[in-house]
Amino acid sequence: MNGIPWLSLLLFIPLAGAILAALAPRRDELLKRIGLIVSLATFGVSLVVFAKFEVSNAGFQLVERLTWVPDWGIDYYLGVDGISLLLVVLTALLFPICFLASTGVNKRVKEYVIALLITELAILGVFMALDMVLFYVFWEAVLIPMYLLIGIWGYERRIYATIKFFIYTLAGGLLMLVGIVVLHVAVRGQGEVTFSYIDFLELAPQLALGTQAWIFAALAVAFAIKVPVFPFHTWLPDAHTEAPTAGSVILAGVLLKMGTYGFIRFSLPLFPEIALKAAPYMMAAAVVGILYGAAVSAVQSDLKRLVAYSSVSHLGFVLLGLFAFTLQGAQGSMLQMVNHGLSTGALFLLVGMLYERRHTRAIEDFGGIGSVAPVYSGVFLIVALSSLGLPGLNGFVGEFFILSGAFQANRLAAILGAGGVVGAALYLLWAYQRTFHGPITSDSNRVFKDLTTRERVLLAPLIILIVLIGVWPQPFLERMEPAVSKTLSALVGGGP
Amino acid sequence: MPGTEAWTVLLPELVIVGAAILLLLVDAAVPESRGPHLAVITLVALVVAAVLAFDQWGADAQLALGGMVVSDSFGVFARWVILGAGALATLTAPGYLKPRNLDRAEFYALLLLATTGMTLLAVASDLVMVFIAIELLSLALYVMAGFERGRLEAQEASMKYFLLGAFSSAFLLYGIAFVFGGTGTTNLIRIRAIASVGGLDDFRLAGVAVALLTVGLGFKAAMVPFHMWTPDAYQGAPTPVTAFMAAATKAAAFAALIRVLVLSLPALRWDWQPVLAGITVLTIVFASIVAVAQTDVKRMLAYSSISHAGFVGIAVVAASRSGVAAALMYLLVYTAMTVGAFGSVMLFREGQSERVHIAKYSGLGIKRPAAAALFALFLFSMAGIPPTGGFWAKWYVFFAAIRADQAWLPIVAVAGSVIAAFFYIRVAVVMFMQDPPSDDDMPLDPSPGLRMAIGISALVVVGTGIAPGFFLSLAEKATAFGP
Repeated sequence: MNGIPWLSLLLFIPLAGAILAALAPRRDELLKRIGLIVSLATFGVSLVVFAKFEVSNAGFQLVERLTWVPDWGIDYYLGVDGISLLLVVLTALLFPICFLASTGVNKRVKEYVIALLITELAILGVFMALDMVLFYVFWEAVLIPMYLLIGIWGYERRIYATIKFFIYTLAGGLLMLVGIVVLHVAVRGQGEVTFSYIDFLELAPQLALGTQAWIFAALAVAFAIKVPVFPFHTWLPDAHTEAPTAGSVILAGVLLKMGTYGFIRFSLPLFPEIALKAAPYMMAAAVVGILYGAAVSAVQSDLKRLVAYSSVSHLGFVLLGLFAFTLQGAQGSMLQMVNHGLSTGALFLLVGMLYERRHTRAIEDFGGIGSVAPVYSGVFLIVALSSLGLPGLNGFVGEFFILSGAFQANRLAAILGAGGVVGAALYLLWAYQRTFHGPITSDSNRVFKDLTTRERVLLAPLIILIVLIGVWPQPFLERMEPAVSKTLSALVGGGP
Repeated sequence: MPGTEAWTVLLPELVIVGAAILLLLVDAAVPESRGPHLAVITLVALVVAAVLAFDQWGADAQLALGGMVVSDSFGVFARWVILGAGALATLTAPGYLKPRNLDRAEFYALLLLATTGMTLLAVASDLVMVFIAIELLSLALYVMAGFERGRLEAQEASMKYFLLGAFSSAFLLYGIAFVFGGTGTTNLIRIRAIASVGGLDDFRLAGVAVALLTVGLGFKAAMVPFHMWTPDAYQGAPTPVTAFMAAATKAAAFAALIRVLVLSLPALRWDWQPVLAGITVLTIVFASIVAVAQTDVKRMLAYSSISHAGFVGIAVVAASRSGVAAALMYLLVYTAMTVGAFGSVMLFREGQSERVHIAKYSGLGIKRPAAAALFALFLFSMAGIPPTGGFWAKWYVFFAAIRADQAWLPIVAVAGSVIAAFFYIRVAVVMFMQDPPSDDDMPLDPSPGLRMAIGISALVVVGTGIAPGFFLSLAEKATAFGP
């Protein structure tokens, strides 16, 4: 551990920013600027973390540890490894973009900036916590600002959506709490008083299989609700559709990854035998999610709802890759988490811009936008193609790895899952065609404004990364590989 | 009889009773004596009593009144919670009573007498003392619940509380009689000694005795199905009294429950554990479901306080050292949350009275952001969301239950919590996500005492949330019982 606690800085900069925003005068532009600068500073620190990260090291790096509740072995314990590094950077990247995309927010801006910064802090905490109580605290702490974001700055049915989101996620979270306490008590029975993830890695797999199964189930339900895995997905379309643009970007971009991250961080390595037994069921749920999400997306008339349902499908892929227990599958899943954050985040931003211009998201209200807003249409096309997995863009790399990894484990699941790729092409291109091609049917579409400079600036980093990961994924893959193969070695013995 | 006799054990109680008498004398000497000095006398008495109680913290156990009461760390912790609840309620009282022309010395004297009953209950080591203490606190509370005697709801609250309370006292007495019949003594220390050498093995009616005791104490703790009086009494009583009843009575009742069941009758645990577990589950699930349907915020908080009794009940069912510590920790945090929440209700005024209907809260978070945020803090803490004290309280209860191989109780509790979360966040939704009516400027109560009470409660909720270790180790030290 060197002098500067970089990971704590990642938490304290947003916290300090939130306090600053609370004290600042109620001038909307100033407050938004504070949010932007603070989140950019956080992103800067995350880049330092990325640069300091040793590529070939499979363990946790930049570790910080302070005692919190000594009697129970609860610590303030942070660290990153190849699994969490990219998610941390992705989170830090998306928040400045969200602030840039928040020009449309003009009510209670102070509370908005504070809520976004606290969300950032809590999500970063989830990805960096190495103490399971700390992890749980951050996990639940995400809930309140997110609940406010949807409920205050959302669209018409926001209150219904936010209550549903809150109740669902809290139910999962509390079950996880019981699971964590059971784990602690079981380990305590063997003479260890700890909540450290590192200790659990060693101790949890030695517990009685029955105990392991119960804890696995409790955690799996919590993670499955967050991902969301079919049939726990019903909160997602409502929350994503009703949330303000920034909220949707955060939800899709990083919040859902808390669930998949939970699976790969906790469920697989802590309970390898149970995970192996559960794998066929999880893969089945993943495949159902992929196909169901694609099918439901195809029939949506609301563009935002379509993107929301496509998340169910895409996250199904991530789950499929994880539970294939092959290096390829897991790496594909890890990469796909980032990819989905980039491309679905960008899609939500684009749909948000559409709504700001026309105050409607119904596909039938559009048509022929391509001829009046060529840049907007071009960007939309790139992002849609990335989302449906066109070779050369990022989505392809992730889905290819996942499907080839899954094929080695379960051919049927891989073949059925591949159907989801076809489905994605179908619903995205069809929606694209109806929105951007054809004759202009409405007068208000004739004056549709193309992207402004601000909008181009905020979309540019996402587009660059979409292309970069598509043609040169190596820097990302090589950072996650040691940690991923270490995690898998516990499952399949000795590593692939 | 182990332990030495020392009248100083009762020093805190003597101070409180003395202050109560002083208040009545002041009232007699200066007719129509009103003003803040009454509350100040009460507060000083409560604080002095808390300081005097500290002398017994960690010291060797001593007895008084021929073994009727015992001094130990458990008693000190429970007293602190009770005295703290009393002091917070006292802080909120003047601002509430004055505009209603109720700020009389009797009120504070009754509050002190009720507090005495509660602290005696917390240190009682004889079933007769348990009964006397319960009667003392109940009689004072019956009057306090109906203190606004001009209001119909207040009369209903008092009457209902009295009738059902008298009924439950009879149950308790009957249970005590059975225990006496089975053991030949009412002294809890002797009962434990008899039980530990198998003296209760032939006690055929043990189940009946324990059930009767549980009914009597469960009534005071407001557990389902003995909760029928609670919503009406809490709704109708003056709000400072409601906060005091909800917080302090519960702490006292659970302290007694722990002393009687966990400490003295562990030999009969196969009789009382399943019964109490059933009551606990029923309490959490029923109270949470019914709370969802409430539109009156005071009534909703009443049901919420019933469901919290279920959580403390889980800790008692665990019947272990960590169970006792978990119960104490929960009661501490619960006191702060409850006084804070009822205090917030008092803070939000509508004309001359308080704002009770949930629809009237719409937009409060926009017009009064700081006050609404504090109310939301108490509600989120009640829902058990980190990093508030309510989270660690639930956490410790789950921990104790799972350690005692009762993992099913936390799972039921989780289901209840999720239902309960619905009404906690509904208040937050109404306050922060609905627009305020334009013709209502939503005044806050100007009383400085009320604000201080809410502030202290918020500090406790946040403090226990951020530095749980300190409070947990206190609660753990408080599991040192007397002889």
